[in-house]
Amino acid sequence: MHLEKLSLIEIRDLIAGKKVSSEEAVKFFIRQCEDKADLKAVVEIFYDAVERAKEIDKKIKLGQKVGVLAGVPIAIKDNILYKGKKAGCASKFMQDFIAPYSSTVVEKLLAEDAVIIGRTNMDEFAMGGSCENSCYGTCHNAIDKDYVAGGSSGGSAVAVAAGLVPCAIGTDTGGSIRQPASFNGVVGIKSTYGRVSRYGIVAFASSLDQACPIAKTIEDCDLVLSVIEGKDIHDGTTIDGRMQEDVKPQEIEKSCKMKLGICRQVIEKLKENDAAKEGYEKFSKALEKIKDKFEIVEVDIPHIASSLACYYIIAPAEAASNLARFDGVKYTKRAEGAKDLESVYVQSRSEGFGKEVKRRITLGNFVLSSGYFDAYYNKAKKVQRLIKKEFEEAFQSCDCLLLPTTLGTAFKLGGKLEDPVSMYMEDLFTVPANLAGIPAISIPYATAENGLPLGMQFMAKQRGEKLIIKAAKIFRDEIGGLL
Amino acid sequence: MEKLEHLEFLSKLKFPEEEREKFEQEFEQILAFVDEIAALDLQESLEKDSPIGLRQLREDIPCQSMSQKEVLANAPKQKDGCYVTPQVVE
Repeated sequence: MHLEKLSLIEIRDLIAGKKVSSEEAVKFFIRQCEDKADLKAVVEIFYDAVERAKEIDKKIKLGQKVGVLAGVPIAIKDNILYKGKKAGCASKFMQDFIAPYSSTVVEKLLAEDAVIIGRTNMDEFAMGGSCENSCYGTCHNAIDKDYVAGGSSGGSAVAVAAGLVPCAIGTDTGGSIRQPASFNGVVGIKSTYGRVSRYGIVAFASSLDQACPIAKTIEDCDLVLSVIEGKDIHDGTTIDGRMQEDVKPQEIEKSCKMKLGICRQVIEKLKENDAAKEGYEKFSKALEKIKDKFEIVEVDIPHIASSLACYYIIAPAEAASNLARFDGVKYTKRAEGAKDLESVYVQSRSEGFGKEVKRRITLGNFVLSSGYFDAYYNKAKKVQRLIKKEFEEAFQSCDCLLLPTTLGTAFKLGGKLEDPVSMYMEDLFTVPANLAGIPAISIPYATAENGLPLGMQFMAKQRGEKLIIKAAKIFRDEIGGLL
Repeated sequence: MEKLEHLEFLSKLKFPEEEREKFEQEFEQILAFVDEIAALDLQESLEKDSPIGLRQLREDIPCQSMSQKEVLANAPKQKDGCYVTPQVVE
């Protein structure tokens, strides 16, 4: 049986129907991880997962009640805490860190009897768009090894695409789930800000971070998100209510025709950008195919193009504060030979952090520093407010926005490493959802001439996860399935 | 350059000599890119975005936390239940 080709729900049902045991499934995917180690998608396999799988098999055999993810193997990104396991954030600074407690996301997965089989590669501290900034080495694209995996949750996306695991949890601060999902031809969702608890996830930009699933199907993402969502006393920013309760039943009925918004400013960006030529063609063709199933309307989000610059002020500012805790004293490696406390901090951080992380800390401290705070940080927070308001207005006239996930496909390894601004451009169409705190999903819908996939993105108002899920399914059925 | 030294001080980082010039160049490129925000003409009345949820604090009920041993488990140097650092008081 080719378990690597099946969705998480199919595998779950096989296990529940005793056609395959959890132990067999877990061992199968562990073998997959070992056989495809050269992709560098999974950085550590948790071999004790086999024991946990056996326990779940026992429960199933005895007819005991089991969770909705019973026996299914799942991987987690290297910045998500699982008690007793390492969580290194792909940083040589944090390589030896062992999680003293589990994140809420992990607790919720385990409570539904999922089996966590390993941790996945990423850009250091989730900063990057290619998964090349990792102390474990570069993660490769699942379809063509000469291309980047995308980032920062590159390992999670590649692990799913290459059949190493049916689902992996990633984190998305500015597109870190959706962009790698798009680059590898899988589905990635980012929830409304506050839908998923951030407790036990190493913070990058706290007001933007969300942990969510990457999987092969929209249904898998829906299921896993419904497991990890929810109010958490350990995270004061989590919201009440569940996805299913947050929409009116008639809104998600299939017969209710949805209005899809096309943002004029996004189309302008696509037209003016050479790298988006093919992407724009495919986007237009797809739009043509689906026009009978949706009502298509044009909307304006005048400042959407300023999202990127806004993000690259706010996210580094928060990162500079969040990463101040890594000092070589409480955790993280301490530099040898530091004579005084100040040198412990400076030398440990200078040796421990990689280039991109240092760049963002420095940028963050710059925009927060005296004399620049108003012009950059305060101004960016105002622009964020404006963008949020413009999205709210756009959603007055449509249910979902439709836009490409990225300008083009994955790029060649090393192609943008020396050009940070061009790397940041990768987030152009994904960051607006983080700034507005709204849900977004990326699904693979077309193949470019270089053989690599392109992703289509759906966004909806806050708490509108079920709307993007519904729209994405109708879209998928209309274009004849996902890649 | 004075600016880089100041940022190093704020960031508790030190860039080696051979990396400084390139870092400064790239930093200026990034600043030029985010300058778009500084240059935007916004309405005076526009307020800053405020984080969602800060009003939703939980009840202040004491609960189990981590043990001293667990807290110190990841420290690079520790002794007698404390973090060890170079001497800070004369």
